[in-house]
Formats: sequence, structure tokens, C-alpha cells
Amino acid sequence: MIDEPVGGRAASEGNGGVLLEAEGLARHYASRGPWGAERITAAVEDVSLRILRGETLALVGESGCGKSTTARLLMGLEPPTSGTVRYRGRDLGSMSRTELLEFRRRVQLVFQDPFGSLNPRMTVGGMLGEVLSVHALAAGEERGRRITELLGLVGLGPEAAERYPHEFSGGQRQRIGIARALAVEPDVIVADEPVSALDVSIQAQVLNLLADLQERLGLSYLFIAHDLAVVRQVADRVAVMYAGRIVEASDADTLYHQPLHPYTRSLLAAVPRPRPPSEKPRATELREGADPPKRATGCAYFGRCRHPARDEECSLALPLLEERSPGRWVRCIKT
Amino acid sequence: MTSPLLQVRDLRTYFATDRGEARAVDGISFEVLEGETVALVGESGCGKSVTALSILRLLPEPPGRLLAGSSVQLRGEELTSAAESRLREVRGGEISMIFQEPMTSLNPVFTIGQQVSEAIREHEAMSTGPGERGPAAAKRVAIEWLDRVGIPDPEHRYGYYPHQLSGGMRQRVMIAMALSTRPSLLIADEPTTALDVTVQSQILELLASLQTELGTAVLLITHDLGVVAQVADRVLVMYAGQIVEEASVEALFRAPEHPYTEGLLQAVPDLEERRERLAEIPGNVPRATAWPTGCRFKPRCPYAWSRCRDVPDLLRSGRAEQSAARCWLVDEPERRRSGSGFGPGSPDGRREEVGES
Repeated sequence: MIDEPVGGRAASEGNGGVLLEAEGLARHYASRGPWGAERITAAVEDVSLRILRGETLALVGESGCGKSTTARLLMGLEPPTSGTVRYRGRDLGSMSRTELLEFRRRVQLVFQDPFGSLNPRMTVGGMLGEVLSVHALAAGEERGRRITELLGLVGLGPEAAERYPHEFSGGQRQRIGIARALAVEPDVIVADEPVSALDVSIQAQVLNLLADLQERLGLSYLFIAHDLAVVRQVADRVAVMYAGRIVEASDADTLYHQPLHPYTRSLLAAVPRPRPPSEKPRATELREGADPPKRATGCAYFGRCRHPARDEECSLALPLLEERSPGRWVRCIKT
Repeated sequence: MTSPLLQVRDLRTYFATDRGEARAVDGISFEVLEGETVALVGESGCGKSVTALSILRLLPEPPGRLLAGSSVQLRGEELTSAAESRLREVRGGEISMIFQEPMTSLNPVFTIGQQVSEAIREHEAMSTGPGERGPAAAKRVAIEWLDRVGIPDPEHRYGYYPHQLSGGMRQRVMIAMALSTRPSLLIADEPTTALDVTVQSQILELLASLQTELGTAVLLITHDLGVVAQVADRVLVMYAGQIVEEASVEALFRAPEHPYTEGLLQAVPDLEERRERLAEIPGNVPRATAWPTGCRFKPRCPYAWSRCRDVPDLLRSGRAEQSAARCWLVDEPERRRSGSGFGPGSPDGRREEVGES
């Protein structure tokens, strides 16, 4: 269970600051093997986390680690195999229809590919207007005024309302995707790789916009990304996932300055830095071995791990996610 | 001074589009020396990939065309006017290429071993030892290469199909195919962009060690400034179809000369430290059918002044050997100190115009 962060923004609010919470989440997929035998793949296993009001929690890890599946479970887009998701203390599984509608409005998704998520045959104004009317948030003159306001929030002029998605650049489309999410006045935005399809210069514009909106509207973000430098820029707390499980979580400064888990250390070591070659990289880094052999027992990272203390003990039992100091969680018996 | 391995002079590649002529690559010149790594860096649409394809004449013509006066010389041999038969020898022979997504460059219905062997047999004279010919020799060399690029149990993996391998392993196979013919130049177009970061670092290390061993020169095309800093000797920064800055990797990251390079470096988030705000390069990348007149970066540049209406040349700065920038600031450096630079975009007055499409 990941607790509140040390000195996190909402730590003083106690439990009242928790918006979205997952406990023991698991998601298994069944498939048929070569001879018809059922195979179970655990995409997500034993994930517990909390998203506090006004904070950014980042989920990082490489492709297939389960970060996007975790996001879908948290949004109620698919049911967990086990575990619970709570929004403002209410279990998603036992919500009434109206509560569920409210939940779907309050927790919004921003996608990686803004073009794929916008209707090409609808003007931007039409699209935002539809969202407003479906949720009965604004009608008549009020609707037009609100559309202009939303476009202004994301740095677009009112004339954008008359245009179609193909008339915008990639960065502008991502702004439109954000405006659409904001239209229903959410308090949590789940952003799944929101800037990874954008060029560097445009990426900075969108990251700054997300920071401004958070400050202005008090939003919480669940930020899913593979780019550790981008995450450094946005996250208050970070959870690192490997093979479906959280292997390390803490506030961002601690995680980046003193990573504990060997996987976190090798991830950070692998990021090429845009610095002059004469500047030496930090010493806490750890390189890792080639592709892992799959193991049935023990630590999932055993095959790739290059921790000096790694031994047979690591392969015997699955390490638990333990709290080493307040808000600092690690799943490794050797650190 | 050694003569360059590859010499590109005034290369212009234009495309006919329904919006008019797109001047994708618009007069670029550079050299690659034997054994060195040159990075061609820029954002999408700047012309870096078209440059690579133009060198090997791999572009469909039409709609593309190489303008008269463009020259690409490999050890003094002109490639723009070479016969197709000669180009086929060069491609995959003296110059190999690897791409971002190995799955699209590998044939799904042949085993990886067959594909590496085929590359070797195609350029047999360069790949196998003297007197060694035929399928058996090619297979032996192919297995050696699979081993060399770090594919475990290569005899067994020889019979694998591309879909049975991970993305990183597929890129290793592509590297084996590309280097088994012992090319003098490897063009690598975003070779690690689709890979996870730990796999990326393994592939970059593999490329570097093979390069040292074989003495291959590499032209690396990438948008990732971190990758550039890690592997390149020299850097060419492209913007709007032109090279806007050329420098050693040390000089470029220590003191970028062109405002575009400066802006890019300030816009990248830093792993070591959270910045208050990232610097923003305002506006959008212009379109190849309508480059701005004068300096092409002028509409987005915080230093622009009246002189920028004139097209700047690639000016030698004297800051470091072989460094140059296409910017009048090189002439009038005091303007940089008095200029505002790339501010962090303010939360309010950031309203931008809707791009015309």
C-alpha cells in the first residue's frame, strides 16, 4: 500500500485528500495455449496506490509493465480480477448508476494520440458542445461562452471552435483533447503518454500547460509515461512498475536522487542525457543484463538484475513491497 | 587532411504535392569522415529522413526529385548520376541503412537467418573470406554475425521468424544484416526510438562497439538530443530543410550557437532537476510548401531583428573548429546578451494562432 508522501502537498489533509484509491488491484487475462490449455497472464498484480487532491502521481515502466492496464482499472474501464478501486471513499463496484455517471465525469482521460481520439467530422466547437450537453452542463448562449472559455484555458483562440481537427498541428490537437477533458469539470485527469507523440519544442508547451491547469483548477493527475525526464518535470510522486507490480514508489525528488530498487537504478542509468559528454553521469547507477529468462518464483527482476548482493535467495520467494521510511516503498530484499 | 568518405553538396530534394512544391531538403552540405559518427538532429518534418533517403536514392521519383546541382559523393564517386546497377551495389554494400521499426524492414515469411544470409550472399565479395562462396559459407557467416550482435544461441535462433523475437532482438538482427557486408557507412534512422530505454542503451552500446571494431562511419538520424550527446562526434542540426548549426558534440551542448538549438536544449526536461517551467519555442514548425522568407526560424525566434529578413549563410563562428550557425547572431553576438532568450511561456498571454493547414 502506498501511503501519503513525506511532505506531499496534500499530506496534511489526511484521508480527506484522497480522491482515487486502489487496493490490491489485479488483472489477469486468459488465453489458450498451443494445445488448448488455458494460460493466465497477470498484467497487473497487487497494485495499491492513492491519488491525492492536487498532486501528480506518475506511473512509469517499460512497455508491457502494466501501467496502462492499471490506468484502465482505475477509471473503471475494465473490471479488476481482484482488488478494489475507490473514488472519494466509495467502492466503484458498489456504486449506483448515478454515482457511476458522476464518477465518469469526474475522472477524465487524455490520450497519447490526440488525432485518433478526435472526431474528424465534427468541428472543435461541436465536439465540446456535445460534451457539455450530454452532461447537461451548459445550454444556449451559456454553451458558446463556455466553449470560448475552455479554448482560452488551453491557449487557443475562439476561432478554433469553427475548425476541424485536421486543421490543427499535433500540439494544438493535444490542447483540444485537454479542453474536451476539462469541459466536464473533472478533478482527476488520467494522462496516458500525453506528450510522447509530440516534438520536443511542442512537448514543453503541453507540459507547461498541464502544470498551469493543475495550479489554476486544483486538478490531480495520474501521469503515465515511459520518459523519465518528462516524469521528473511533472510528478510529485512516482511509482515504478515492473512485470505488473509496483517495485518502488516514493516522492519524486527522493526517487531520482536516491533510487533504491535495482530496476529503478538501471532505468535511470539508461536514459541518455542531453549534456556535454565531458560531464560525468552520477554514480548511483546500475547497468543491467540482457533479456530476462521467465521465472516462476521469486523476484520477477532476478534475470536482469545486476545488484552486487543478488543471490539465490532472491529467486526463492517474491519480495514484498515494504515501506522503508515514511512514504518510501521498495520491493527488493537486498536494498 | 583525409578526404571525406561521404560528401554532400547543395542537396535539394523537392516533392510535388497538391499544396504545391514541398522543399523538404533545401540546399544542405556536409561531410562524413571515415569512422566518425555524425548526428543529424531535428524535429519531425525538418528533412532529416529525406536527406538519408536521398543519399541512397531511395525516394520515389516522382513525386520526389533531386534538383540539378545536388551532389552526393562516396569517396569521390558521384552517386546522384550513378546507374541503378551501381546503386544496388552501394546500397547494403558500401552504405547500409537501419530504420526505426525493424518489423517493417524484415520479411515476416523468411527466417531471420535466411535474411541475414541473403544480405551476405548479395554482397558476397565483401562479406565472406577469400575463396568462400555459396550458401553454406553464407550461413556460417550469418550465424557468426547473429552471435556478434548478441543473439543468444544463434544456431537455434537462425531458424526463428521475426515475430518470434522482441523489438530489441529484431533491431539486433537488422544490425547484423547491415554490418555483415562490412559497409564503410551505416545510416541509422531513429534506430532506437521504438525501443524501451534499457534496450535502447544496450543497442547503442552494441553499435558503438561494432563501429570501433569495424571502423564504420555512422550517420545517425534522430530527434533525441540525449542519444546525440551519448554517441555522436559531430552534430548537424536541421530546421526547415536546412542545416542551421554544425558543431562538435561538446561545443553544441556546452554553448549552442543557433537560437533554435538553444531553444531545443532548454525545452527538454532535465532528469537531474525539476525545472520551474520548461522554456517554450513559440509557434509551430512551418510547412515545407511555405517556408518563411529570410531566416526560416525568424517567426519563432526571440532575438529576431530587421537583419533577419535577409537569408543568413552558415557562418563560421571561430568558437570551435568546424562550428558554424545559420544565424546573424554569429556576426553580432552582443545582440544575444541583450536579447530576451526563450522565456518560460507565461500561463496567460499564450494564445496562439490556429495553424493553417
